[in-house]
Amino acid sequence: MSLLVYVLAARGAQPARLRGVRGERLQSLRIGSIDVLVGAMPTPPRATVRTLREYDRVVRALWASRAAVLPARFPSLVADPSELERTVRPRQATFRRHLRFLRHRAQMIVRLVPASGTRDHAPRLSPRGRFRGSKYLAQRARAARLEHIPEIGVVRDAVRRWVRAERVEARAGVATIYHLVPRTAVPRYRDAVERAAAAAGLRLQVTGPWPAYAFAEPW
Amino acid sequence: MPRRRAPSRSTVDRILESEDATLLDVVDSALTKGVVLNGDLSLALAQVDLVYAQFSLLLCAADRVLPTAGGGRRRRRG
Repeated sequence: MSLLVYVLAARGAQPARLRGVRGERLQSLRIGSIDVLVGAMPTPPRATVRTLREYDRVVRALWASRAAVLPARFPSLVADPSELERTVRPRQATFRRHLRFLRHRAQMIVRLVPASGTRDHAPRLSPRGRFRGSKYLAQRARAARLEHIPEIGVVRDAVRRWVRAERVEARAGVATIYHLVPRTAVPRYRDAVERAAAAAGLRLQVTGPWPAYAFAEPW
Repeated sequence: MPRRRAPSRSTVDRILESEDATLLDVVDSALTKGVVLNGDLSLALAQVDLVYAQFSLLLCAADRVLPTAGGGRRRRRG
């Protein structure tokens, strides 16, 4: 029997009737001052659309019931509570600090297709399978140029007052902006993006609020 | 890396007017974001396992650990 990890969370209650991706009962395991919400299952879940939707449902419900959660990437499995403890406890202070940063905040996603196109930012390996210094610098330079895509600037200017963290990715000509904003600001954020897009003649897609998947990794 | 041409109107429509816009975000979020503790992953389509991968004690996402995988730029503000 393995444990599927859903979230690391600040202490709190969980929705009483919430069940996991396989209908399993959720367990809250306390490691220091952090709760880890897990579900026991005999075999690893497969990444089907249905399972991922269920996983998001569970993470979303936990996020809604707590001040902050760090979603685990699907599927994070451990053999038993002791393995989980060995994995989490050494980084407890980092997780705790990160949970404080995410308190009462939500992730919004804006996706757009810049008129000028984008450059991909997928990892590129050298022929030897290792990153080289010059390639690293070239990648950093390309990432920096994302800052200057005009359409991203339109969005950024419209919502600057609410944004606590930002992450931008570009792949296959599509730019994706992840913003971390106060949960209470979500309706105003969405309105501001849509008004700015309409004023600039910009076509984009806004989704959210989401648990802070894109900001879950401690840095 | 060559610069990509601006996408066609039909491509933009397909991307931005998807009927199930959130599905892309669900898949992207659950599989490529979040804290990685460890785990096994099998990707399945029509009951056929396509990919199997094992994560072992990988505590940060690959695109945070590997320097050139940093397609994303993140700025943190108070």
